[in-house]
Order: sequence, then C-alpha cells, then structure tokens
Amino acid sequence: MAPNNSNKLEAEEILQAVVVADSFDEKFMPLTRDLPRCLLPLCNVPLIEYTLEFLAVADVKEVFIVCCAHSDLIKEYILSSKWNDDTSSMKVNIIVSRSSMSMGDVLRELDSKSLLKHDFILVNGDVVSNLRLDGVLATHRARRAADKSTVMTMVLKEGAVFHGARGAPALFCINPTTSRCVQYIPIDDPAGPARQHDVALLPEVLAEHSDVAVRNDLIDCGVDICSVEVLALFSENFDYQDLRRDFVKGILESDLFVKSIYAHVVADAYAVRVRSTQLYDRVARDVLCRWTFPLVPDADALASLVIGGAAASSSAAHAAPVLYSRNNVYREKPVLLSRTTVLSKNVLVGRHGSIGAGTVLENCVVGRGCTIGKNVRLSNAYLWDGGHGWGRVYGRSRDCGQECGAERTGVVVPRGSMIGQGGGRGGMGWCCPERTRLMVDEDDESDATVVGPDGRGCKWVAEDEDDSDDEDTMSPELTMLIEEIGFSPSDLRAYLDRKALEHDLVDNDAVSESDESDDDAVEDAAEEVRATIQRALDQGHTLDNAMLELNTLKFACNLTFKDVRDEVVPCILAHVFIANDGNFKALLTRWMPVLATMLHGAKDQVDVLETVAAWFAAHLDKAKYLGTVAMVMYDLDLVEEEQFVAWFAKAEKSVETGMPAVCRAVRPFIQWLEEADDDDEDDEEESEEEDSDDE
Amino acid sequence: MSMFSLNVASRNPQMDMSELQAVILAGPGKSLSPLTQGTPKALLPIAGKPMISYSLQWIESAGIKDVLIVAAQSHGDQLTTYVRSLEGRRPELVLVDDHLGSGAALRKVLDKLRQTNVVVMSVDTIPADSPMVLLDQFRTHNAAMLALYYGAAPDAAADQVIGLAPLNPVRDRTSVAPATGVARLVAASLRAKVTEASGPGMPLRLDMLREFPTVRMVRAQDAHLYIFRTETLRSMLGDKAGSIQRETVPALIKSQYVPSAAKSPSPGTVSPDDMDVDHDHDRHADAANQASMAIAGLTPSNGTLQSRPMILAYLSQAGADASSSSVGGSSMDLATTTAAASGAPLHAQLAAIGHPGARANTPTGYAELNRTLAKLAGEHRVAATADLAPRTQVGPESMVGDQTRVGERSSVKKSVVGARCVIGRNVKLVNCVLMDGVAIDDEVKLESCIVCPLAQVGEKCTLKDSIVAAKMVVPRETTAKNELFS
Repeated sequence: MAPNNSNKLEAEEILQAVVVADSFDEKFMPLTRDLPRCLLPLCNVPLIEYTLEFLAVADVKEVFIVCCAHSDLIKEYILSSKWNDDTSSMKVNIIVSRSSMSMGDVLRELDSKSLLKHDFILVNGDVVSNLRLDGVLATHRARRAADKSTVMTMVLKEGAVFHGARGAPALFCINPTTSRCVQYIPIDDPAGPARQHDVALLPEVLAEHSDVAVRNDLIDCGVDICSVEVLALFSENFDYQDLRRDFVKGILESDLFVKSIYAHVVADAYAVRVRSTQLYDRVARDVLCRWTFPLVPDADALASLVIGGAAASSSAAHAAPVLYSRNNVYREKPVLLSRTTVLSKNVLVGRHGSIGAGTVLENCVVGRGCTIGKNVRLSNAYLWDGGHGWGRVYGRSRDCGQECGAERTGVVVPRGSMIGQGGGRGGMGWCCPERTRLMVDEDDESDATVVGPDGRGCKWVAEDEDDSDDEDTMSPELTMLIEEIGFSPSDLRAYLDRKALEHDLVDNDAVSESDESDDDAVEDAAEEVRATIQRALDQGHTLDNAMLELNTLKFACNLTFKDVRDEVVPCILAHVFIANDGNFKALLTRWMPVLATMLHGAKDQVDVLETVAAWFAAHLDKAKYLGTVAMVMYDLDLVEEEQFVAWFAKAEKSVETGMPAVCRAVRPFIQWLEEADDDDEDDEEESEEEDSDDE
Repeated sequence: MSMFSLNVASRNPQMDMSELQAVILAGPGKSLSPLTQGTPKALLPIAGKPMISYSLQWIESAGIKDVLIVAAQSHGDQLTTYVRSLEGRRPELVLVDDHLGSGAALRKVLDKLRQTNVVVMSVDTIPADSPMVLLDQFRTHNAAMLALYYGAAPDAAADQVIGLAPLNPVRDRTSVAPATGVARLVAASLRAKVTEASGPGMPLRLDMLREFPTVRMVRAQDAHLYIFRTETLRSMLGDKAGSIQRETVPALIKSQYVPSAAKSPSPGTVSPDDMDVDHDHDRHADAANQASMAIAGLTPSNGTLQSRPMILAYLSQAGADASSSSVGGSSMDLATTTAAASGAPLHAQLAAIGHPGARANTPTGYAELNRTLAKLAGEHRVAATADLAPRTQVGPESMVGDQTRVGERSSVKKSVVGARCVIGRNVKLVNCVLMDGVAIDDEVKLESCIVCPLAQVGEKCTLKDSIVAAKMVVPRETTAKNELFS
C-alpha cells in the first residue's frame, strides 16, 4: 500500500494528479478492442495499477482519471479496486470525456472543469515507474518560486539513442546549468520516406544561450509536473493536440509566450511508458527481473490485486501470495505443475494455472486460470487470463491475448503475433505468418486461410490512419519493424545504417565534401532556383536583385555554385532563344552576368560551357546561336579563352547526341579565338584559389 | 635509435621530439589592416616583442625543433631578416602567395612534413595551455586531430559554436561533455552564421546525433591551433581545401559519423562528382577507402576494418584552477607563485593569471593581448634606456620601450609604448598601443588607440578608439572617435 507519510504537505495544498487513461493510438489493436490499454494486464496486474501506485508513493492525494475509450470499463474497475476503499490514501475521481481525441482535448476539458487548483502531476495511464517524485516536485516548486514563468517540468530518463522506450524520437535541447529546456525538436522519422537528415538549432536559441546540450538519448516518461497555466494555454491554443510536439514546441518557439519549461533528467530510476507492444514485452520482462522494484509481482502492493475488478473476490486475493524463486520464477499459489514442466527463467504463472508435462516456459507470463498442455514450448509469450495452449504449441516468441489459444496440436505461433480475446483457435498443424494479429470480430466470421480449417478468428487490419495527430509518418517497412513486438534495437540500427549508406552513396563523396544537403532537398532547391530566375527574367528584375536572390537561395538551400548554374543557364537560354525572338545579343548581355559570381576557376568555366552546350544539344534548331552565346560569355569575361579551347578539345571528341552539331556551330568562334591568340589575358581576375583566410 | 627510445625522448621537453613538427602560418594579416602596412603580421610587436616570437617560444617549450614558417611572399624580406637573427636552430621559412588560404598554404609545404604528427598554428594565437597538455591528450586518445579553443574567452571574442560529445560516456559515467578540457569535437559552425536572426540556425546531422547522442553546444574562440596526424592532414587537404577552419576541420568532423561509403558501392549509385568531370567510379571508391583509412590513421589493410577517426577539441579554461588540473610541464608549481615569475614559459604565466589565451587577429584583440602581456612584464616593463621626465606616471600594466622619452606630467596607463618614441608633456595614454618611433606632441589625450610606427600625433589631439597607421601625421587639435588615420 502507499506510504502514509504526509509530512510535507500543507493542508491547503493538496497534491493532485491527472491520469490520462487513453493513448489515442492503435498500437495495441486488436488487444485494445475490448479492453483499454490501461487495463491490459502487465504481469497479471492492470497497467493503471502501476501508475496509481507510482502516484500514491509520490504522496498524491487526489487523482483525476480521464477516460475516453472504454470509459465504462475503467470506471467499473476503479470503483471495485482498492483505490475506492476508505483506507485508500488517494481520492480517485473519474472524468469521462468521450469526445476527446488527443491530450490537448483532455487538458482543455480539464480547464473547463477547473478542478485543478495547484501544480499537478500529469501522467499517462500506462506509466510504470519507481521514480521518487518528491525531489522533482521540490525542484519544480523552487523554480516556480524563483521564476514565475515556469509552467512545466518534464521528467526525462537517460537512455540510449535506439532505446525502444523513446517513443516518437525527439531531441531535447537543455541548458545544462539551469536545466531549462530551450528547444524541442521532434524527429519525424528515423528513415521514413521524407528522409530527414538534418535538424536545426534555432538561431535565437544559440544567440541567447552560450551553452546548450542537445540530447538524443532521453526517454520521454510521460510524466510532467504542470502548473495550472498549462491548461489555460491549451485552451488558448485550441489547435494544440500533442503535449510535446504542439505544446512544448509551440511554447518554446513562440515569441508570444514568455514561459519556461524545464527538464528533469533522471539517470537511475525506472520510468517508462508502455507505448507499444514491443515495450510491453520489455517492461514485463523488466518487472519480472525486478528492475522496477518495489513494483514486482511478489510485492504486497501488486500481489493483492485482482484482475477484472469484481470478477474475483478480494478475500481470495489475500490468500494468494506470489512465491518468488530462483531465476525470477514467480508462482501464484495454487499452481498445478507437472513434474517434468520446466520454468527456466523469468516466468510468472498466475493462480490456478495448469501446465502439462514436458512443457518449457521461458520469459513468459501466464495469466490466471490458464491451461497449457503437454510438450508446449513458450518463450517470450504472454498468455492472459484463461488462455489455453494445448499440446505442442510452440509460441516462438511474444504472443499475447486473452482467452487466446493456439489450442490444437502442432500449432506454431511465430514471433510478433498477437491474438485478441477469444480469437485464434488455430487448427491442427496451424502456423500463422510472423506478426499476425488475430481477432474475433462482431460476426464471429473466421478466415480459414489465416486460422486454419477449424480455427476461429480473422486477421486484424489497421484502418487507414488519417488523423491529424498521426505520429506514424514512417516508412511502412520501418513501421512494421518498430511496431513489431519482437523487435530489437539492433534491427533498427542495421536498418538505419543501411539507409544512411544508401544516402551517402547518392550524396557523393560524403567525407570530403562539406555540402550537407540531400538529393531530395537539392531537387526542391533546384525547383526554387528555377522559379527565382524565371521570375527575374519574366519581370525584368535588375541584375543585382537577381544575383542577390540567387545567392541568398544558394546559402539557404546549401547549394553549390554548380547546382545554381545548372538551373540558371538553361532558364536564361530558354528565355533568350525561345521566349523571345531577335535581339539575342542584347538579352544575353543583359542576363549572362548573373553567372559572374558563380564561376570560380577553370573547372567552373569548363563546366558552364558544358551546361550551355548540353542545352544547345537538346535544342539543335538554335545551335547556330551558340557562337553568339560564346562570344557574349567571352566578352563579359565569364569564360577565359583557354577554357574555351580546353572545353572544345573535349567536346569535339564527344559522341553524345547533338554534340557534333554543337561543335560545328561553335568552331568558327574557337578558330577566331586561336587566331587572336596574342590577346592579353591578364585582365582575368580569377585564380585557382579564392580564399581570403585571415591566417 | 630505436622507436622505444624515441618515445621516451618525447616526454622530455629538453630533448628533440622527433615525432613532431610545427608549422606556423604567418599570413599577410589583412584583418589587422592598417597595422600591417609595412610590417608583416608576424613581426607586429606585442609587448615589445614580435608576435612570432611568442609562437616560437610556445613551440620551443614543447621541445619541437623542426619548425616551418609559412609566410606571405610580400613580407618575405623582413621575415627572412628576422629568422636570420634568431639564435640556435633556425626555423625554415617558406614563402607563398599572399592570397592563399591556410589550407592552400599548408598544401605548399606538405612534402616538407616528415614527422608523424604536426602542430599547425596561426602566428596570431597565444595559448595559455601547455603544449605538453595538448600533446598528451592527442596521444592518449590516439586522435587524428586536436583543435584548441579558447573556451573561456570573453563572449564577444567567441566566434564559433562548437558541439562537444563526451569522450567515453560509459567509463566516465557522464552523458554530457564537460565544457572545459578535452572532448570530442562533433560540430563547429561560425557563430555569426548560426545566430543570424533570419537564418536557418545551426544544422545538426541526424547521423551525428545517432553516433553522439548528447552534444553540448558551447561558444568558443577558435585558437587556430591544431595538432594533426600528418597522414590525416595529407589526405584531408586533398587538392581543394582552401581554409583549415572552414574546410578541413568540418570534413574531419564529418568523417567521425558518416558511415564510410567505401564498402563496395555498385557502379552507378555514385552520382557524378561536380568537380571531377571524368572520374572513374572504382578508382574513386578506392580513393575514398584509402582516405578514410588515412584519416583514421590506419594503414590500409584488408579493407574490412572500419574505424572512425577521433577528432578532439581542447577547451582552455580560465581561472587559477586551470593550471592545477594541467598535467606535465612546469605549470603545476606556477599556479601558486605570482605572475611575476617571468622565468616560466609565457603560457604558464598566462594560466597563472587566469587568462584563457587569445588571438591577435583583430586590432581589438591585438591591443588586448598587448595589455595582458604587459601585465606579465614585471620589472622589465620600463626599459633601462627609457628617459622618463619627473612627475611622469607609468601605470603597473604598462610598458615603455628602449630610448623612449616621456615628457613631464604625462601618464601612461594600461598602455604599451614601443622603443624610440617621443612623448611630450601632459600627455595622457590610456589603453593604448604605441609602436616604435611614434611621436606624441604635448597635451595629447589618447584612449584605446593604436599608433603605428613612425606616426605622429599633433598637439592637443584627443583621440578615442582610433587607429593611426604607420608614418601618418595627425594634425594638431584633432578630436576623433572610432577614426582610422591612414
């Protein structure tokens, strides 16, 4: 039970907490079709119990549970639980808000009810943690006393980059001395279709703070200390949905709000949100391995709990202590085990479980009243109450379900499968593909191709997600990988390394070239350059303006001179020769100087000639004007005569379509150049090096 | 001499450190203009001594004997004369074109780099850290490069925003890099660029953040002092790098986290290189492979070894605790003694007064360094041959050079006055630098001014924050602020 040392709290300031008992996503479907996520059993105890216990330890006196989906089930459960007892240290209130579709809606609802008077703890209903919040609360209060603009303290846990518990990955930029969070950068997708390769620290942040730690290793625990102002801010900004991506980002990046958000980074405590099935597996194992101590199966707080509320009487619960033995094997008496049953390690068997001869269990949780037949092999499997596994079931890894049952002989349930309530009575010799999710729908139709001839249930298919708060914009391949229950971080790492490698192969010479743009961005940027020069050409901007715009664009998009040239040259040529007729030379003389700042050294000059030649090769009817263009470029000192000659020597050998014609057109000019060889050439200002270092 | 005895020798600054070589880059000093009219940057006096003498002294305190000075052609004669005047083993002087950037200049002397490691420093940098400390860190971590930053430099001087990652998060039980001392350098950008209000901010590669999950962004002044593995430098300079700071360092930083593309790229996946018009894919990939090996300082072997180079940043620290934490060298004892212990190397004296080191790359920085070093001059601050009239004041942070005459009732505060100057009566100098042969007439007031050699300031002038170029004559009774006389 929760400790009763309410020493620190003044009578007037009651510590309040809000538990959001909805995850607003479908990661646990079809398991959550009949049961909300917060009531899913984790080591035979509903998830919300861990959260409530965590709050009780923090000396919270009043809890508001906001439920959206399955609110009646949650209500029923809470009413019959120990939290509703007279002896409970917390007053638990339930707020039903069926219309809420996001965290933002929930907080706006709370604001309208004005139930919260002081700073409160905001947690998700799926948090498992043994963190002591009193220290966090104390620092939060101290900060608030010192800085009235403090609205929130986020509790973040140190992890690793590829820690599965990180959820939607994001960078927290924190001032290491003040712990103030100065920027929040969500990362869309580790390697999704958008292929994000760069993020940026805002210039304001760098201008204001001389020391910023950018952290990509923090696990968002879903625990926040909020001031009441947070609710008001949500109401003010009615488009805020997500607490992090909308609220934190919005507050930190907006000039309108002068609010500060702090981050409390914990290193040693256990704190995690059960965000996905993969984490469910992980957290369940952590509970069995006692990382969450004192929240372990044999602890008083959890062992006395009963699943399903009123289903079992509380008197029976007290008579059922959980026995903890070597290798993290827990048995909730009475359990019926055969003499040849092997519970190798990290196994919890619920009350009235019965396991047949020759069965081997490893990293498993078996719910109450489950029956497992002979010679069954289950590893990393989670059977909920009343599940059956009959003879020779090989639960390779990680399936969970209530009253599920791969019931017949010779069934193999491979890794990553989930079987919903009452579903998946696979037939003899049935073997479903990896990562199958089975359910029994309303009409109880069975898909024989999935569950076998005499099976029951059908495959669950995710509905099209078009929600606005959709955070899964990942590539399908990666979504599969991450959402899969049996996924390991090394898979992602390998995947990302492969992606990065592909990217860098495209990105040419990644080591020596300081150009950081990726090719998608370059394509967009190229489009932008085309639009800019076209605008300048069409509207007759001054040369200086056009050059300035292009130059700005070059820096903004991190383009090379070549990138810009490659877009600009065809546009100018098209403008001169296709959009106009006559007076070519004047137009060329007007526009070609745009290139002046983009040509540095001999290579660039040869390159621009190639670009020009390529355009003419594609527009052979205009090829006769190439001489004019070359002349203009020569007159404007854009290209030196040696470069003309060098380029021509190479072009003559080219066999590409159109090139011979192009060469013919320009030959007179080149000959003229060679004859006038004794020209001075000192007026060319370009040199090989264009550096002006102050060394 | 065996390899082993060489290593032993490298510990002792008295002996030749044969594994090391030093390159001093003495550019034309455009950003110091007009101070550099007629005098090369390397020979501008700081507290009475040419700037380059400090670099040479620092290098000497590391026991490096093999020194190259790469200088701009235009000042060749003056530098040649200077180098000839040096005693002992003279550094080798290489003259290059004036307009070459640091990288291009360095490329000119690549074939003269014979040793395993090379210290590359700009002539205008005066570090407060012992070279031994830097070299120790460089060797301990088997780094490919170490760059020195003046971490505790005044905020205005900090020109870079650098990203630091912890060296060994597991062993050191730290998730955030320390803001002083040695750390892994994973990002570096010009501060002006990334704090530009309408700009995109500081780009961070996600590749980098995956490899180094916590990156601490701090402001620092680039000391323009690097220790390179010669192999690394050779491969990174390639044939196009123009500037070490802007090209070589970023490329090296990037090589720490960009997965090597050299694994076996299938032809056709590599898009054509912009610069190299007709390059060959296979050769290119091979070269990239070789390059990444060379960066990491490995000899290309069977090609399966994929190692990432270690690039370090050393952030100098200010305050008295700076020298107590430094290892080796004689700075340990000095922390306790006073700054007047002029027998100690300059960097140790700077550290003792809590100075993080600085650059003289701008007139402000130059004036600032003059004052700082004048502080350390101790009893030598007024030359014996100087002629001070009665009732003249020379403040404690000031220096007066040889054969300089100071007239009656004049005061010199926080100023450095060169040799053979003539200062009239009732002159007030505050925060000024007067180079050799300057004439200041009576009743002149100068505040935060730099007066170049042989210039003359007329009677009753009042100048503030101004610079008087060499041989200029400022007419009498001029009043100016923020002015440039040239």
